[in-house]
Amino acid sequence: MEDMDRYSEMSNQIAGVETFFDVFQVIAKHDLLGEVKNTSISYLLSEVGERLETIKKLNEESYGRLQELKKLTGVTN
Amino acid sequence: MSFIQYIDDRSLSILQEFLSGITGLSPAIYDSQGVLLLPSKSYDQLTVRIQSDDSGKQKYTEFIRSGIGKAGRRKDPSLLKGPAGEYYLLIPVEVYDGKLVFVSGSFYLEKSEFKDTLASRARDPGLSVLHPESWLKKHEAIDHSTVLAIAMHIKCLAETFLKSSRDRNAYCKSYKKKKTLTDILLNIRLPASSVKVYFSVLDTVLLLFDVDTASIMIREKDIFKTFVGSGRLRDTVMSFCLGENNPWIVQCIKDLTPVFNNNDGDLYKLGLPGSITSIHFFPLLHRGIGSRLLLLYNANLSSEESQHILEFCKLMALVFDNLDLKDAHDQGIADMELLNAADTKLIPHLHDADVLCETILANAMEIVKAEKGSLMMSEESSLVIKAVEGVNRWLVQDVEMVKGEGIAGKVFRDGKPFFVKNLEEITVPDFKPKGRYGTGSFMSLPLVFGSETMGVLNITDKRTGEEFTERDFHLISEFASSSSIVLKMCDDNALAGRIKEHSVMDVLTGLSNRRHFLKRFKEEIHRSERYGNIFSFAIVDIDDFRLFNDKEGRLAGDSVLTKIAGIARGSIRGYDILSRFGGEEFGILMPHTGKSDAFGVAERMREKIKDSLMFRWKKIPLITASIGIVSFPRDGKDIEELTESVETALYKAKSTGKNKTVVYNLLNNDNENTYAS
Repeated sequence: MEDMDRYSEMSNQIAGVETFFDVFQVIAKHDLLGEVKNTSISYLLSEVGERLETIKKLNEESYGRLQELKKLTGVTN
Repeated sequence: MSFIQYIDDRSLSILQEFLSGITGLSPAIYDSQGVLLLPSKSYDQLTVRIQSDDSGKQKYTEFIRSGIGKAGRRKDPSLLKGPAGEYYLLIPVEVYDGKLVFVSGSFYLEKSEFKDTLASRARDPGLSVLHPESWLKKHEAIDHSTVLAIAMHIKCLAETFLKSSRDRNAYCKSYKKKKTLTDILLNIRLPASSVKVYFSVLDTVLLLFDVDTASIMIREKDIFKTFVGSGRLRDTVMSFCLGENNPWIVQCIKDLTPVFNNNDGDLYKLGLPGSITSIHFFPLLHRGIGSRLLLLYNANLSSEESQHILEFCKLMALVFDNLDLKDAHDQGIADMELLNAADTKLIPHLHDADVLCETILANAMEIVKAEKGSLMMSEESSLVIKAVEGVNRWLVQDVEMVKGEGIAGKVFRDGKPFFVKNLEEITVPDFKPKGRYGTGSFMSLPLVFGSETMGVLNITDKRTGEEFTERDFHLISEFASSSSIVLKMCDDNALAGRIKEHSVMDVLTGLSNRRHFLKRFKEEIHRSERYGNIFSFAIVDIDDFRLFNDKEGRLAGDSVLTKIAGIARGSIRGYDILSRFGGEEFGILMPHTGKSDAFGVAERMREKIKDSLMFRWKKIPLITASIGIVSFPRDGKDIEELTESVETALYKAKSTGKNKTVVYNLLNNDNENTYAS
């Protein structure tokens, strides 16, 4: 994956996780968590889990790419 | 949503306490299925005793359940006789679409009935001989009419209370949901990424409403495709797409209202699996403009909730509008920068039409990332290829296209662009695509300035192999427009150059004319004065030219003038200035040149004139010239003085035999020449 594509994909996944918690927080603030169906929250949480897994994988790829660049450029810091 | 979901335990307790206070009965409250929602606060001791063993309890429970079942089907309160001969009042309470059953404690209509029951059940466990007497004192018999009056009273009070309670709670929940939706919208800080806004919409409907799966569809050409989805059946719905003419979509967009369908047959026809039993379509459109829809699968929504979601979608559509505008704005700025950079590259080539044509084509191809292209310019009755890229230029350099024929010819004739995204999808009359086209996508644009069409710009084959887009066409149209202006400027420059040339040139000899010569003469005087330089000025006069003209004719005279001009041009140095000074006179300015050197130049010229124009058979000169020379500043301070001096020298040359060069000497009163041939 191209560096910029990876960055863009990571941004999208982070936006997905961030949005879930933003919406969840607003619902909790209005004392409507009782309205949330267990099944809905279960599926959404599993989606968040998938996103975090993807972010983890992309982050590892980024690290590998960084190491490659360090070797190529000789920059150590 | 059933009304019972809006009634909380606290409301039921308040109602029970209230009824107990005014009627003396503390009824237990059951739902219509016989599920106990709130037990009575004051069970009578007989009922407690009856339920004190397992069989009594089971009997009592079955009795109550069956009684509630019957009462639930009635509208009016009813009396039921219990296992111990006691009576129970069952009051159905209806609020909107739900029903509760209030069950009173046991009582007897007659005291004698109670006595008989006690007597018959004296041996039941838990009952002692003492009890009946004490209970008898406590137990009041209630007559039938009083019971029914109390029942109607309870029914009326309970229905009023519960209705009001349900409305209040429903309103509170509705208000909270609306407030939540508003806050979620306010939480989106613009400019936000569009991905974030999509997720906000999906997460909100999934968390806040009874929705199984949700997705957002985006229009691409004439098809709505699922762009993002969430929920239990996310993977299933991601491949779902619909044509823009689908009747549900048409209705949703036209009326800007939610559209619901749970018809198995309809859903099956759309290719949806059996796990999807209903779809809600919500327009994510602002004033009918936009290309997004929100789809909710297997959602259980009240009309009020549908309205909430619709309002939410309307506001979200504004956010999408904002994002679209920002995207369009960013894209517009990027396009303007791209076009500006391309236009800037054309300006340096305003004076070279060939290089300009090549630069226009190269930039046009770079703007749309094209592989092949050509630029044709109008020349008389045909279009001539002036620049070509991606095709062997030697193959096409001599190709000429008749105006009005072929795609480019028609584009030129009509002055209208021709854009084909995919040639296979259309039929172009009189056009057969040639094998050299990699894709069927091309653009042909006229280069128009005002009412004049100057040429045609043809662009073919995107480097990526994709089709050219509307944006590509827009960009190339803009560039063709500005290129036309630059081409026109280039044309005008060339024309202006020619006009200027003619204004300073003698048409017959091609030398500069007298007016231009005098201007340069003046400049040379100023320059020499400023830097203390010298220069020489000579006039070459053709000897007996009038006689020659009269004898040989004007045409022969013109020919002689042209030849002498050529000889003079070949005799002077690169920085000398030569002009036709009068009818048969030529003026020469020789900067940084003293009389001695000027004399040398003039003599060479005179010799050449004499030798070049001879009667061949007589070997005698046909034409000769006399030359006068003066020098600045010695022989004059301005044009008038120098001209007077040089004419004096020339007169001397003529009067002393012609065909000679005479250099003027100011210090010598009799105009004796320093140098003379």
